[in-house]
Amino acid sequence: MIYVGFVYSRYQVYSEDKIESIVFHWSHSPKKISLDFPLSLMFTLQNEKGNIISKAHIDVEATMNHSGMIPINTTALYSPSKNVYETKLNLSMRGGWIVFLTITLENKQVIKKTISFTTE
Amino acid sequence: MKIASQLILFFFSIFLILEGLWGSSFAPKNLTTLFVWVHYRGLLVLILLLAGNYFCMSCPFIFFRNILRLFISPKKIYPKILANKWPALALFIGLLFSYEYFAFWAHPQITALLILAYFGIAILIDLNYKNANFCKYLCPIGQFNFISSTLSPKEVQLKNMSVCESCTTYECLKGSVDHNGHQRGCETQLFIPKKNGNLDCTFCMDCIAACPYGNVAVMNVTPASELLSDKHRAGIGTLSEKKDYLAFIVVFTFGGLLNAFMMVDSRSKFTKFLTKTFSLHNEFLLCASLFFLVLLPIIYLTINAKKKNRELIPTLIPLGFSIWFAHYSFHFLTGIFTFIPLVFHTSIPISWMGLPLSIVTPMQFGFLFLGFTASLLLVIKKMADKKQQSYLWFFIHTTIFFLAIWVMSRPMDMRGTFLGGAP
Repeated sequence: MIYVGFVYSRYQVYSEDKIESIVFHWSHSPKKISLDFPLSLMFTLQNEKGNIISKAHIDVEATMNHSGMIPINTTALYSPSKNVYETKLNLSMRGGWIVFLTITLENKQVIKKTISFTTE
Repeated sequence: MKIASQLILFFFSIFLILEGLWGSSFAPKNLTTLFVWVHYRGLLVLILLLAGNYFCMSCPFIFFRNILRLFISPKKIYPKILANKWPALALFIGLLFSYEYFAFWAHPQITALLILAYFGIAILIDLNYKNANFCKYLCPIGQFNFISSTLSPKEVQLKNMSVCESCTTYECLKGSVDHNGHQRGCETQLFIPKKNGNLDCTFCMDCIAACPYGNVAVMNVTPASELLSDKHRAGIGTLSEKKDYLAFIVVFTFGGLLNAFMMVDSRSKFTKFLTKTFSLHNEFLLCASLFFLVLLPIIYLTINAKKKNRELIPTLIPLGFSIWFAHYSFHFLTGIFTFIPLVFHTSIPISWMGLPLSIVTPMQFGFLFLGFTASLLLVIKKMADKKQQSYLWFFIHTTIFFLAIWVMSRPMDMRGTFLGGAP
């Protein structure tokens, strides 16, 4: 019964409020992504009116698509001078990276975004 | 213990199939890819080295097959033309190739389908033909386990030869009938008095259960000692005359190197070289070319080797196993607790997820050196016994060892893993 309960609980669909009206952009620096330099990721959040969202909390999990990969966990901090959320990653491996972003807005609603890139 | 372990792995397999098909499509977030490609492979080599072929004993595919055999009793004998290791070798190479080309480690659904395929093929063969032909002649994992278990410290053996010499009923092979019903004998045809080593032994313990004299047991042996002898083996023959077994040993060794090479940056550079030089852009051909370039020549050399060299091919096993061990243990030890956030939906410090590279990398090289040393010692002992002298095998083992060191020291480069993988 414990086994059945465990399996059942993994495939439960939980309701989730989704806000689709956030405009999300991202960019990186340097332009050439390599292991030689830390990678800066910059995210811009805007609401549907085009206003910059500055009080969100962004958790960043950078990983690769192979089992057993140890992710890089960090937080993107808002930079008022640039109007972006920024974080630095020291990439540990060449290849394709996937970054999961968990964006928590001021009203506690959570948005999940995913970006990906490949090292040179 | 056998039934309990089979039951556990059977239900675990069901879970892995469900998780793979309906869980996260992203490999690091899916327990199927994690448990199969990291934990299972790591535990497999560890248990083979420290104990024996207990994973074959606990096989969930055979457990399910045994249940179905309660209702369907196979009558046919496996075709003689297929009763050799060549189909298994083709499957093993096919699996290694498919693992790279389809990036199994990055695809939970494909991993789940692979488990289903194993169930399907095991049932198809063993419900149609008597004995354990899937295990002996087809299962790629089984072949890997058989070869690796020649280094195990335990072996199913007779206790007292005089008991076997007086036996005329051979229950260890034919099975027995008692008040509990029919007890199978050895389904891979290993006649206990003539059994020599762990090759083709699935540790099913049927012979132990069938022997009316209690004369068969799991005994301690010196690891790799069976590789010193070329005497006739029950159910197999003389190893140096079995080119299919020898080819498998060679593919086992070089396949380990290839499997590790495919994950490092040099593979990308070599692929780019092939693309530039031969204008080869097809991913299938690029991947296949690596396998053809490495495995076909060595299979050819094995088939055409002289007897004195064929007798020394088994000395590759310790070094070949150490390559697999170093590779699998790397992923296992660096990611041993990565399942905790997935199972318990909680985060743990990154440092708790596995051992750091500063500890694992020296261990890898240590394993490789141990395997290399063991292979060299086997060569020295075999040559001393035969009063032969040849530097060829020292050269072969040293070359493979340094190639393994080079591959394991290259940085990993995980390209081409986005095929439908980004959630």
